[in-house]
Amino acid sequence: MNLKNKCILIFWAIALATGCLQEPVDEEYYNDHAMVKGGQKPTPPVNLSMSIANHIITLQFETDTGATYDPDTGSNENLYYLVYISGTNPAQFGDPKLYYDIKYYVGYVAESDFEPGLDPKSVTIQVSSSYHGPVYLWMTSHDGGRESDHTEVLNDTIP
Amino acid sequence: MNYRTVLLIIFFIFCVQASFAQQPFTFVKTDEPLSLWKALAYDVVPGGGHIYTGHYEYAAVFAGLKISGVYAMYYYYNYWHYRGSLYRSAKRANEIIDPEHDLLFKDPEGGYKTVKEFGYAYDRAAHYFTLSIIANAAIYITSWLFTWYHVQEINESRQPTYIGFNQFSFTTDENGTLWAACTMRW
Repeated sequence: MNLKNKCILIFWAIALATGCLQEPVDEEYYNDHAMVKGGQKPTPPVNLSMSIANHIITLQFETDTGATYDPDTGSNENLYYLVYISGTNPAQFGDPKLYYDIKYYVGYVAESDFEPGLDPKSVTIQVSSSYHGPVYLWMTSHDGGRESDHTEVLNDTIP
Repeated sequence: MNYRTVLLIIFFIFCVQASFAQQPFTFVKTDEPLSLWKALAYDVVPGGGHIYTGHYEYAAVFAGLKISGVYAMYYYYNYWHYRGSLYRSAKRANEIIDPEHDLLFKDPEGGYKTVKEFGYAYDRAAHYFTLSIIANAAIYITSWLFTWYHVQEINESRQPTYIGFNQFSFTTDENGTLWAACTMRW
């Protein structure tokens, strides 16, 4: 191998070695919705109401009023609606993150599970027959990446 | 033996004495033993110690390992800072954009991560950097051990250098006889 080829080889080796290095990013790198899964967060369902009979909670909510949508798509077709239930008043939660804690998460329904334009939507939740006491319920929307703020908290009592 | 012959012999011995007396001579010609400390010091440079001991194949292997090791250490040091900057940026952005939710941020290496997961990746990068330091230390120690072994091996195979001296002495006994003696020591 002549000197010229050796120089080229060394140059490429150095270029490859330095090219593999990542430069640290600045503080504002992630301060951009495009870097967040889900982009902007959706808005939650509205007009929640619930009734309890024989340990079955019937929850009704509306999502087609135009108030519930994903700002990234402009519609609610891709949204999921998450239900949370607690036996204690969430107003007493010390950390607002607990409103979205998996400990209180019950399940979800998708917008696509309902006929288009159907409002109010209704779901039923079976509560253990051994439970007697207060029930606090709230909902959120989820677009597959981000979760909305929670709705107002409903409360009732299972006798 | 007549008087002239004796004088000639004496003259010859004096000539030899003048030429060789106290002149060191090498009994067995060999190489000097290698310096262990010099070999170990040379081995700080990739392959240096092995080149000093004449083991060029070891020099090539250890030079490659050491250069790769130092590059790996630099790479993971850089990677550690890089993951740290991603973690700090994600943490700050989560607090600004939506502090009540654990947001998923796009990881340049693929997929999405929460701030907590970025923290784990930052910790892993620190571990990689630590491991690269340990690997470098192991490579250097192994190279030094081989260098030490080779120096010992070479020095064992080399004969020590004997330095010899000859010495002539002349004495005369009571009968007037001249005695010449040649002593060799080494």
